[in-house]
Amino acid sequence: MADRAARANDAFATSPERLEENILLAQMERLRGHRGGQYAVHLHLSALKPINRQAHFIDIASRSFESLSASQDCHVYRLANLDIALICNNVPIDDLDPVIDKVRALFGEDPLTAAEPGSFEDRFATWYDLSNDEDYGTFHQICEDLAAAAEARREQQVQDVKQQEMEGNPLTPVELGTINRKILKVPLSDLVRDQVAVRVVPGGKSEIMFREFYVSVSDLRDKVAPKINLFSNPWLFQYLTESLDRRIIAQMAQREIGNMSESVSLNLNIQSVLGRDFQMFAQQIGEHANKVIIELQIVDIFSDMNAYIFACEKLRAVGFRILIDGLNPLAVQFFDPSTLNPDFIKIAWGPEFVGDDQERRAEEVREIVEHAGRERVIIARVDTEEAVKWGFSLGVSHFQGYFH
Amino acid sequence: MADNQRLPSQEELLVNYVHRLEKLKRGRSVLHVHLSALRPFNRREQHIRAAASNLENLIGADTGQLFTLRNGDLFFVYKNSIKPEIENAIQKIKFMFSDDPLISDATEHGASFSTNYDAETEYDRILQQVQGLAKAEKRREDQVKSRMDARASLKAKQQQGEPLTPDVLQRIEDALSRADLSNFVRRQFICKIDQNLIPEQGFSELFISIQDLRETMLPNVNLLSNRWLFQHLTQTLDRRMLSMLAKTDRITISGEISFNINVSTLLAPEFLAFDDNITASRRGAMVIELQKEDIFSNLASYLFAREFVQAKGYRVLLDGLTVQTMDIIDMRRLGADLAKIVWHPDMVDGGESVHSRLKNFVTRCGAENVVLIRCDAREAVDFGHAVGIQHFQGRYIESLIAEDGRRRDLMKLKRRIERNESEDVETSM
Repeated sequence: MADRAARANDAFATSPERLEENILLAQMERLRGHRGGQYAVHLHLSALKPINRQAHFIDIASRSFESLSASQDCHVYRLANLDIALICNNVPIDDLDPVIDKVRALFGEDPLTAAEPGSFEDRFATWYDLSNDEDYGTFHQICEDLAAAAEARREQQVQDVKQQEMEGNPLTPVELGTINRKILKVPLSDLVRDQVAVRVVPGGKSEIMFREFYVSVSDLRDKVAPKINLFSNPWLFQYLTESLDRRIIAQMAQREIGNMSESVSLNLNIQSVLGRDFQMFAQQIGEHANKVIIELQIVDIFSDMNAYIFACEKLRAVGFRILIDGLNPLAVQFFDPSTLNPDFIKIAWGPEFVGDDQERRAEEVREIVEHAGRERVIIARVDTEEAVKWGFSLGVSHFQGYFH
Repeated sequence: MADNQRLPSQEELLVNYVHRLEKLKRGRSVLHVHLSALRPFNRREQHIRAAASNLENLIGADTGQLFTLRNGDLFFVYKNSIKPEIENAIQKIKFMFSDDPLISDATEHGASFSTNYDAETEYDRILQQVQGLAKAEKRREDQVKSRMDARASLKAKQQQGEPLTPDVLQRIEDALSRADLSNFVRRQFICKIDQNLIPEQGFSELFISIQDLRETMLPNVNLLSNRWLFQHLTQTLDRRMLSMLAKTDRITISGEISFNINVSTLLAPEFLAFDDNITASRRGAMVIELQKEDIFSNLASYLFAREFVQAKGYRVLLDGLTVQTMDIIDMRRLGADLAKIVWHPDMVDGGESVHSRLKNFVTRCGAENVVLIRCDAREAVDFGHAVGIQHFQGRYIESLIAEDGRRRDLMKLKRRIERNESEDVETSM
């Protein structure tokens, strides 16, 4: 689909003279002599968090200016770094303001838009009065810098294409059946990985809470679908996980859980937990079920709440504990997972939450943690010290990830 | 399995008892108190217990036996010698519920509070009645149990077709993207229903009937058998729906409408093209329905998309909430304008805590913004009213609309006749 969304990223794939930054620079040069009534606005969308910096978001944001630029002397530039620049000639600010407010609202949950519009702290938009020499000079310099950066990106484009090949083609139903059949057959034992979740105790020492066993999807991909990006469609990927569940359940049945010194956890679909393979597994491990924590995904839970409740009853009756997975700091601001009454809640930290230090948001997450009970919360995907600090600041001392 | 250990239900015990009664039916009667017909707020557990207590002191191995059914109805099998006491007890129970329309409007609607059968002359009717009730209860129980049952899933396969597989999905999606689906578009109205059950139409939901689609195009496939594959299929249906909505000659979309869509589709070129082609005023008359699992599968996209469509004038509806999810998912915090909550008869049986949670939910969201959906019986509307819900959708509501239409036609006809008559009088004078 060669849709507009792709255009934002393709901007730097074109020849140098067609770079949006160079067109912007040329425009700046053209109006150097007659700058009365001219002004520029720079929207710093490149400073959005990665989850909000998606190409189709930026595409929709820039489309918001279309009707204004059709009726007024207002040029919109979509820059390679995803910023948007506007150059306006005598456009009433009262006409432009509502459009910018609309775009700001689109990213209302991003810290970038948190400051009062137009205030000193506002990092979302910068205004330049181009009739003013100093402003003109500053913005001209910025355009030059942006153009240089865009040029550098363009040269790196070869690299990016390689990167895309790594990610692979999107997963469609066409390949799904074949991949699924391969998953059910591929030798799995060397694809099973494990990672511990730890409890950090005073003095900086840590003790193991449990060990999660999972299938490494990137290694699996190399074996069953090297050219396909398995994550490109969330629903089709979820379908594949049902087959993976069956495989890992069979794997775990072979490992003597009773003889393991630690508790273990498995991430499964609710349908898998209700299925025959799992029933047999549960019978086999018997009373050792109390050493097993079942991780369930929030999306799975929401798609059939009755099945979740039913599964919980069944699991608890024989001693399994339940962990809710698939949460991130954004999600817990929107619902309180403790109402689902799990034994543990896993909140995945991610680089996109760097700088998420705003008090209001932090406060909301802290409340959720308090409500759930700190001892039930685990911060996962911890690979930097920053993540640990973030966890500590919330009063959490359970972590899972590469950083120890 | 579990069936062997399960205690027999009151319904089953009653059927057994009535079978045994056949030999002893002389001089006995059976009283059926229709407590299930009371308004939901009058038929909570404590009410049923209080009502039953009036009959309990008449129980005796020889004189009387009481059965309290799951739906709240009472059956009392007694010797005719204690008939006066029975009459007395009925009056007492009636008095307890004197504010309920079942009693206050009894003469108007002819619905009766209790029925008394003479066991000797009406034995067959009694047997038929209790067997019917036991069957209904069995059916309800089976539905609850069937989830794990391999036999049940085999049966489902026979009735609903082969489970959906990726290969079949691909073929279906190909077929769907070519076929004219306008014949499968259905419309259901969201109505404000008053205490007299007169519907006032609000917006209408347009949807592609999966049932009809399956029966016509894919009779041997169970589209719902895998929820993830089905979810993928809905993305194809989204695009077809949008293209039909854009071509108004295909389906009429008069009035305010709503339609279900995936968040990912809202951000796709198909929706942007659709949006480009409709007038600004139409956007204000459209409600976009989103599913909770879709929202939480990519919250950042939802937040962006919601802001995008609301700024354009569309309203956003949070679809498919249930009693279990309504407290967890905060419609206000998600910034949705409306919420739909799925009716289930268990809501009535949920007791005081469910009722007060629902009331709080309605207050929190605003009664104007909540719709009770899949209402297929009057019970749903009565229950909704009891917890403050005003808007309803479902098969029963469609029947009310039809009935209301007939009533209006009749009134028009009546007025025309009256006018003609008065004209006749004038001309004759």
